Amino acid sequence: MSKLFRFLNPVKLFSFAEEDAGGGEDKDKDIVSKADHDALVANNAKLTKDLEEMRMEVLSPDYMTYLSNKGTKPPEPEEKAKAKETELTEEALGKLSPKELLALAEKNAKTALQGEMDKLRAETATDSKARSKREIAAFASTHDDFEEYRPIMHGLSLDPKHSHKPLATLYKEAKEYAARFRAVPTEEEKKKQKGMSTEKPGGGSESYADLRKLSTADATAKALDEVKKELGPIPLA
Amino acid sequence: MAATLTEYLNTLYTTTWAKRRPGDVDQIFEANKLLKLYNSKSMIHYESTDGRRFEIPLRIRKTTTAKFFTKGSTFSISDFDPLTVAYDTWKNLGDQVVRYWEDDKINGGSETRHTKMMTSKMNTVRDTLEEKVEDALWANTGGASVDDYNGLQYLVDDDPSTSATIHGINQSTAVDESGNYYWRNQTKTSSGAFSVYGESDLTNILNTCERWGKIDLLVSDQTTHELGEAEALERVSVVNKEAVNLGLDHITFKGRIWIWSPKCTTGYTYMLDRRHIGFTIDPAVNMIMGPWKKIPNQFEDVVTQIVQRANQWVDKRRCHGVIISQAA
Repeated sequence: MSKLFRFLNPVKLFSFAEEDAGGGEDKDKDIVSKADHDALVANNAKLTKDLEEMRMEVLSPDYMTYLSNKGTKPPEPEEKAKAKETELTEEALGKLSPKELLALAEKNAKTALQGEMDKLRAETATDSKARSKREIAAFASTHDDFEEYRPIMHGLSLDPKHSHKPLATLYKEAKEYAARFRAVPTEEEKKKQKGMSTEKPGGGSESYADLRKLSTADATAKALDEVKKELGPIPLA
Repeated sequence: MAATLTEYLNTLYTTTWAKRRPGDVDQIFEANKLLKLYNSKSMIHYESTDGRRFEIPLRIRKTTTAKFFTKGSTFSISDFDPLTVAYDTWKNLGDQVVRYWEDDKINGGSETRHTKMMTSKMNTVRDTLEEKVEDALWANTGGASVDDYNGLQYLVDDDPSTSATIHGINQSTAVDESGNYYWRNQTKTSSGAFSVYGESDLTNILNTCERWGKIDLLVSDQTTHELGEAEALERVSVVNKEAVNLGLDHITFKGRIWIWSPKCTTGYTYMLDRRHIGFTIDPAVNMIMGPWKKIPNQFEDVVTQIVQRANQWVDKRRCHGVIISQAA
């Protein structure tokens, strides 16, 4: 340790001549070899570096701020500070002109009124939601299949043109809507769909599949009937 | 205002053709064995005209990056587009129906006489078109320089090393990454008398073709087909289920349908892989009747045309083959 202390004190470290002047074997005890010297210098540099790193870790900007503010009064919250600014002392009020006083009173009254109105609006919305819930629950209790049609009713109600409709109307319309999809296609519709699946582009309104089954004679007879219906019998000229 | 006789008959002919067309188109395809067999493998395609040419997607290129590898091995990253698109032109086939005012007038107001003449005229047009389709499908011509469809003899060439451009690709020069001629079909000259070499020759070219595909149809001329039937009858099954279902008179060779066509060159047998040959039709122009036009310098004589737009194509040629010079 004493050696380390010596090396931390460069003036003493490099004052060999002064020590040598004292002479004797005791003086040789303070002399270190070149290798030890280099090792101690390196160790010193390492310790300095470690110390600096530790300092950087511990003394973060937040910690430094804390340290500098230690013992002082913490700052007031921003809102509180603002409120304080608006509070006027009697002395300050006395300095205001009547016009300024009126403006200040008007401003304060408006702020207070706005606050009251917001509060009332929130209460009304809560009431309306509760009322809707009650209404829906009552409707559901009288209609067993309400849950089945509920998604369709919701979908319908999203359309602005249905927004004013009561639950009973929405329920009726939802039922009609669902019925259209559940209806079994008629034989005529089935035939039409079958024809459409095999029809090739360029064909007429008739099913391509039906036409390809016709014999030449049948196709001719059918065509003749159609033309006669439209234009009458074959003219002579 | 009431329609005149000419106007009335124009409407009657047009309406009748509209009703007959699906059946007549079927009849044209039914009558043609080759198209019937293409249809059986869903190789009659309907594709609308989009631009001047129609596209034939080919898959002829192979990647060069596939490899076996061990832990940590690397693959060479290079872009690869396996699809090559060949192009060909649409071909228009048509015939006309002419009506003379005098004939119309002679038939007067008789429904029977008018319908008889109409049926006769339309049947004639249908039969003519049917023959034209058959002729064109078997012709040794094709490409943009001729008006006909690409013929089978043009698509499956008996001398594929000669310079000829099919779908825009020259068969004599086109090579793939490995230097193989990918755009040439297989060909073989018969080794001798059919009674001695017939079966071995057919087997040889069948196997050669099957290195690149799956032969499922043989087409010969009548003589060669009869020779095949006489020679092979004792050893091979003569029934193919698909051909029976299609109502085709046929024999089989190693289970493949073997038919004959009067249009096939004498001594030739074509080996076809129906997955790579087909016929494309524009559905909007499939034997449709155009408007009736008055012939300018003739009194009330009128004419119309019935037209079709289509072509025959191959999307791979190495899998097809032809054996030539077969004789008894």
